[in-house]
Amino acid sequence: MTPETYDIPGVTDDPVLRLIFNGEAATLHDAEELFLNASLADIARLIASPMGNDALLCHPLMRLLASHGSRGWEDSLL
Amino acid sequence: MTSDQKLADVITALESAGVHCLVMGGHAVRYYGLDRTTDDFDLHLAPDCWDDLTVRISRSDWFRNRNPVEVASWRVASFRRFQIGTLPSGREEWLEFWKENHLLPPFEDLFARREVGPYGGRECDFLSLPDLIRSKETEREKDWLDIQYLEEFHDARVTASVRSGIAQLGSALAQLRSRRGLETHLLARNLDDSSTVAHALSLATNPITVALLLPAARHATLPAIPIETAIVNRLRTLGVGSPLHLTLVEAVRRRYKQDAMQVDKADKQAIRARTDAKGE
Repeated sequence: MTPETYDIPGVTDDPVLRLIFNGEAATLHDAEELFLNASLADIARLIASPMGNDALLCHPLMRLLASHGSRGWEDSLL
Repeated sequence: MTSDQKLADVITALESAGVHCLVMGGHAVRYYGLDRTTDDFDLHLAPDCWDDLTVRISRSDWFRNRNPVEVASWRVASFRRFQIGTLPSGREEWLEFWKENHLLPPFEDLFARREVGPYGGRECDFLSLPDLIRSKETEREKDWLDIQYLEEFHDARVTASVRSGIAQLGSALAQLRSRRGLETHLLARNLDDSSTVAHALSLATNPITVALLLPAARHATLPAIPIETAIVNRLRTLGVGSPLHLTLVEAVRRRYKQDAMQVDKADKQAIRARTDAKGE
């Protein structure tokens, strides 16, 4: 079995990790950035859905978006 | 000689040759407070200096001693670049002139709102900070790293001008771009009066500003700004500064960036297509 054919549930089927395995991203941060950029339509659909605000905030895609967000007061250069 | 002093020498030499310009690019970024490395000299030229630029430059001893070599630009009608040396690292050193930048208004407008400040031992004319931010909304990822910092600097300056009584709160809020700026206003309780925030929203020109302010004036009427209706509707239900509010701001910011990158890329592709067509 070659490495390309390995199937590790939770790893090889992870859309972010797949970007690294495919050579499209060099780091996890870069892979998450690519994934978020490609997911803007999905994010818009989630926001437009009838999901409540608390559930929306807990959605993995929204949590990933928040984790790649702007610096707050405590992390700013100023 | 520091990079700042070298820029100052370049400006002095250009002035002696009758060439007028505004500093943009990395040196302007440094002037406004981000201490990052830059070796190139990016300038926005007064249009009347464009046609005889080479002749004018050759009048200056500073440039004659460096034998500047003009290298073909793919934006033939609006951008010229001269190699003026080689750095100790082996990297080429460039002097670059914009006659008109596709992201910016005409030079006269830029000049009218320029900022004059000390740099490299003399006073230099810089693009205003909002114009500098706009000039960096390109398809290059590294420009957006600059923008992250410049937006914070701009918000801090505007907030300081409100504190010192120079600017009105409404007009300051209408320019808000950063999360740090939002948090500063929250701490100062500047968003408590929803009518002031609503006024700021009516003046806003950027969807990020709208996303930052809307939860503080949920019933405000919005100007015609491209922002998704579903996001607007959701923002009208949120507490200002709440985790979901900040997350939606990031959705708007990411969309704004992606759209701006696509516009810049399309502009470049159109120019290349025209150039290729002429070459056929």
